[in-house]
Amino acid sequence: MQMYEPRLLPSFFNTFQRSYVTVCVWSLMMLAGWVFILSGTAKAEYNRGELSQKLVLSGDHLDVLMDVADARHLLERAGIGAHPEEIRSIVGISRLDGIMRMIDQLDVSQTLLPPPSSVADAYHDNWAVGDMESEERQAFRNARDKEMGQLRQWWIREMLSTDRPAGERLMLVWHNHFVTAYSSVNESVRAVYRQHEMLRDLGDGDLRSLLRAVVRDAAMLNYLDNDNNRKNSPNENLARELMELFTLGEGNYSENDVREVARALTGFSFNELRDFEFRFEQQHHDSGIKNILGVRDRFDPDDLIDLLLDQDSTADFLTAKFWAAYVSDFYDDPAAKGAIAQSFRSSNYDIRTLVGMTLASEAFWLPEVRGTLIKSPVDLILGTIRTSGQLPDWWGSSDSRMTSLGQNLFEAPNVAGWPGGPDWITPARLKLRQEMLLDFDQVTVKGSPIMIVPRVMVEDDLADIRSIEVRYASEDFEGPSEFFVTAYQMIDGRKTYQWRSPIIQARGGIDTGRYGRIETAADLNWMVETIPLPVGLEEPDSFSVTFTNDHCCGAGGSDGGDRNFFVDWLRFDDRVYLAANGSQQSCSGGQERLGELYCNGTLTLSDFRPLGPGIRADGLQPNTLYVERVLFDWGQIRDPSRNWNGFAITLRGVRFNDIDVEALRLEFVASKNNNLRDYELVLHDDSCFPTCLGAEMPRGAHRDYRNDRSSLRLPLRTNGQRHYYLLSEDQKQFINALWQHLPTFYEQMQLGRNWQRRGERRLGSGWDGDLARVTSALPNTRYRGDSGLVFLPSDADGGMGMSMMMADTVRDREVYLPTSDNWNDVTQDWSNIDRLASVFVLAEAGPSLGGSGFYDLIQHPLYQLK
Amino acid sequence: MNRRELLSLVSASLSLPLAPIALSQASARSGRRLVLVELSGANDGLNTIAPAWDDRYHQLRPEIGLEPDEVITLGQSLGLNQAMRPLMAAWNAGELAVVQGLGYPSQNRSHFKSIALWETGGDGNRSGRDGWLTEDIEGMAFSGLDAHGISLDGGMGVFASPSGMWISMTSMSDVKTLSASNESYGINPATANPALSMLLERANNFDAAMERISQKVSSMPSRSFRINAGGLGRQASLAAQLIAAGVNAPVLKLSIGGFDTHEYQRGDHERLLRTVAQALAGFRNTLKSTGHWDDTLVMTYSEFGRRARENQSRGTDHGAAAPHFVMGGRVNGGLWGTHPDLGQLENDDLRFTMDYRSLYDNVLGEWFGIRNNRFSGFSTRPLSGLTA
Repeated sequence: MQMYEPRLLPSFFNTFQRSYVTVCVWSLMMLAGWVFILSGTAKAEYNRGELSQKLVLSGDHLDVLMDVADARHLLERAGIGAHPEEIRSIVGISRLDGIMRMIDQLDVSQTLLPPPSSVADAYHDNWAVGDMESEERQAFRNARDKEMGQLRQWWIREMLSTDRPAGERLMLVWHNHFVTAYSSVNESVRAVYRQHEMLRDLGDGDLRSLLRAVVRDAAMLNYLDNDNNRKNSPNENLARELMELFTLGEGNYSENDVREVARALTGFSFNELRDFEFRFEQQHHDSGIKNILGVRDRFDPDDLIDLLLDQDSTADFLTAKFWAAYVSDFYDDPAAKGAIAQSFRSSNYDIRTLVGMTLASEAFWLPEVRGTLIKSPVDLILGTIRTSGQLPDWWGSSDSRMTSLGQNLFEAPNVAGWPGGPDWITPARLKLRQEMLLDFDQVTVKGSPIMIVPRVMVEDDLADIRSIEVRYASEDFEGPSEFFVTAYQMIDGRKTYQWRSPIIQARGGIDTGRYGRIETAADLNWMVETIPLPVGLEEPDSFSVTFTNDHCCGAGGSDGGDRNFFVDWLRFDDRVYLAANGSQQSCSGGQERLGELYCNGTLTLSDFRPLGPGIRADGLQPNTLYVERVLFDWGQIRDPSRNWNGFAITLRGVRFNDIDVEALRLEFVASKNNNLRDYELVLHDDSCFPTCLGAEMPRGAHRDYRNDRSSLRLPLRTNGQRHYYLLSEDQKQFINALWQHLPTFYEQMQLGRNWQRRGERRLGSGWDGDLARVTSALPNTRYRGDSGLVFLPSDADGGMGMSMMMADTVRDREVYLPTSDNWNDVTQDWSNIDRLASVFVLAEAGPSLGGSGFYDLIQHPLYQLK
Repeated sequence: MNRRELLSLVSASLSLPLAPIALSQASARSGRRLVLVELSGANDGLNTIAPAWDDRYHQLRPEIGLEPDEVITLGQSLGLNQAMRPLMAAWNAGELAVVQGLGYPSQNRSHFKSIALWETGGDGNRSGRDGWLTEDIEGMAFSGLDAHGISLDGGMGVFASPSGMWISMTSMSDVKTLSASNESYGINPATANPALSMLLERANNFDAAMERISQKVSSMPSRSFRINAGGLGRQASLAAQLIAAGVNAPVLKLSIGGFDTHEYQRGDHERLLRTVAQALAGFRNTLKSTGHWDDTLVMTYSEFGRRARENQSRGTDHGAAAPHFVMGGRVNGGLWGTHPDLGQLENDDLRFTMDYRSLYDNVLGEWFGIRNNRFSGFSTRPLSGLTA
């Protein structure tokens, strides 16, 4: 065995302690030297930076200096697309150095663009959906769908903009390994977002930490039904997929193992009310002895993960998966894979090692392996945009384009993810793939550097020319939608015509004749059109938007193509007119919503809201309790013979002086102790978000170690519990207000759907007497007082949420393509078509190319492959 | 250093479409077709096939329950919602079967998850992968096949398969050839690159299929197949047009949405059922006139049934078991399976009396003649003889 001077990968984290393990990998003549540390944090926690190592790779084939073809191969496989400038920057360095640059990019915990605030900074009350009437429920879902679209757009922008494409590639691999789908997790876009962040944080760390986080991830627990996996009624879904798809692979466990693993996973759930945080439900966990893979133990989920990582099959399975993603579906090298798996395992499952070893395998660099992976829709659409260095007009519809090619991000078809390979070129998709590439006709090889369009609302310079902005989207069919805007003014109480815009052709529409109809409004390519008003026009106060050229249909009816027009909002100065608050005249199929014009028609916009912070920001009266919603949560049938009876009410959006609580669950308890009867309000810190009292529970609150929570008991008359006296003055006032308004809450909750569906029939009026006794007793208790109570409207789909969405809308036009300045330099000396072919397609395509530019090159069938 | 010899692994799963894969299915009946009709949103089975004479039914549904004079008697104290009267011709001809109490263990109540289970053959403890019939249909030997399946509503979930010719109408609207453009690059079809070779082969096959289909369709006048039943009627008439034009595709898929009737469901639900009945009756009449009815089997499916007990908004929430329709010239009409016992509810839900995959086994085994199919393990005697 020939030895080479080891090259060290830079250390990514500060190391506190080091120990060295050396593994010799005979088959590829590689030497891997390991430095790793494991810190001793609590095992339930995962933490970035626990593990760190230096990886050493060597081998004949890795010393080769990369030519253009090598560079393009490495970039397209390990990253996304390959821009000529990216290629140029690594041509002439060794393959090993090239791999190390890729490994260097794997940390994408910090993104270039901030995530949409409507998702990243929001609190979502998915738990309250059941209490909503159908219209509000629909508005809630629309708002979440919209946010999901923004999140998807954000990731797309990040993939287009990033200077760490190898990290985004790894994200795509994990996204397709630990699969969840937004539409299967009850509109919990927060949970989807947090899973995405978790993969960003841990995806380049170690598999053990990653798996521990995955079995605690709300989206995953929901998607695979582990929230229903309880000691008395196990659900095997997560158990099976954890072994079949995430670790061991099919055939390496028995049906009995599935049952036993399901027992080990019982009680792992999440708390929707507390922003989808992980929750261990001790009472549902089966702590008995399990027999898993021949080992008998009590196994909790972390023990289980340790056991799964003790199996050779886990490293083998992950290695095979990465091999298929990075190397080939068609070529196998069992010995090389065995060596990678062994190194992966002995590095304590370091993911950088797995990626690095895979790229360093001899097979990866073989000519026979190149061009044998079928490009995914992300490769084909986003990769081509990155490769071209130019943003086509239609880039905002990349999400819908990828959807029609079969890869709607965050919506994998099932838990096994996108099968990829042959599945990307099913008959239905094959033709679309080639048609999509025709849309790169604006891009030329000698083209000017890209233009970036950060559309910012410019407030200066516009003093004289006033304009309106319309956010719209179009489904095109045999041409784009056309529309115009009309302005009106109230004169003597009559709405009077003032001005009409020219007819405007919608931009960025999705060609439904070719790509089919979009699935939800969130998938539309939303555009903002700025329309100047004539100078001297008197202040308009209402508007209408008219869709003029409806056209239908392709073969098979509207699914084969249909022209439709959508409006989200119109802005004039600091006023926002939401389509949802307008009225419209168009055809009605019963399913459409305001702003969705499926036929010629007019949307009239008279109601506006001022742009800026909503009602919650200021104007609150002191010592007044503000509440957005009161819901019935659960309740017992009132049974005087029992010592303990209770029901719970949840309050949404609670404000009192400086206390600001998103959600608070109040337990009302009728207790009987030694014939002493009393009522209590009980607050648990795991049933409030972010806290019950505007601060953590006071020291001295009741601590329940079994359920890992602190509780406050506030009896009405007796002094049995002294928790009240642990509170600050403001908190006492807050509790007083909750007691004072309890009877109102009780009435209010009965108006909601939760009570009507789940409470009324069982509980009836059984508690009415107790509430009456509370009302009469209150004036003689420490809780007496006269705080005010105001019910604020919920801002589920308006108010704050809306202005945040506006901000995001402005941002979602931003994209930065890296490496464009040197475009001309790069291509100038490569005017020869064969050279260009090796930059954009594959070297062997050279002699047979038709045409002479980028556009012609990407039509080559080989461009479908990488 | 010796270069490691690499193994080429062009496995069976990557083989080219339209190549007969499993000749063991030679007994399969390739001249027959299945038309799937998805009732999207979860159809309320109890108000479709109603036990209108059962007091417990009226206790569960005091507001929305159907009275005996609002149903058409089918027997066994069950009645068909009178909105579905257009189906009675098929019922009386013995060509309409109702398979009762279909469901699966560990009911999932999410629309998305549950329809994905029906599409892929999974249950509450195990999700499915590919479309439930793709593998078995692809394994059949066909002569003159145009496509394995055609979706007329754009939905491809039930056709999910990495191989086979499963297409959506949207890809038929504009038939351009792929292979012609590929030929212009002068690529040798016998390329050593297995991915490229698969790509080219598929492009050629797809072009050939599209050309055959468009030629067949263009020779048919479309007006003659008008079925007046909204969007479903349009899909059904297009399906009839394809069939009459001689397009050889063993599976067609249609759908109608709106069945998620949580509130004030009586009017909406009856309107939907009437549309379904009109579309299916029109489809039957059309195919009878073209002589294709005996080779056609129509089957409805939906994500789940609805809660037996009505809610306070005169609607129904997500439930469990439900009946489905099977219809065709060779169907042995009547009530099949067992109606769930209204006295044996589980959290106000009907318990399923037959795993829905038993019906899948029956369709694959009895209708298509694929006795040894993906769902053979669910084979059940009570369905034996559903189709001839």
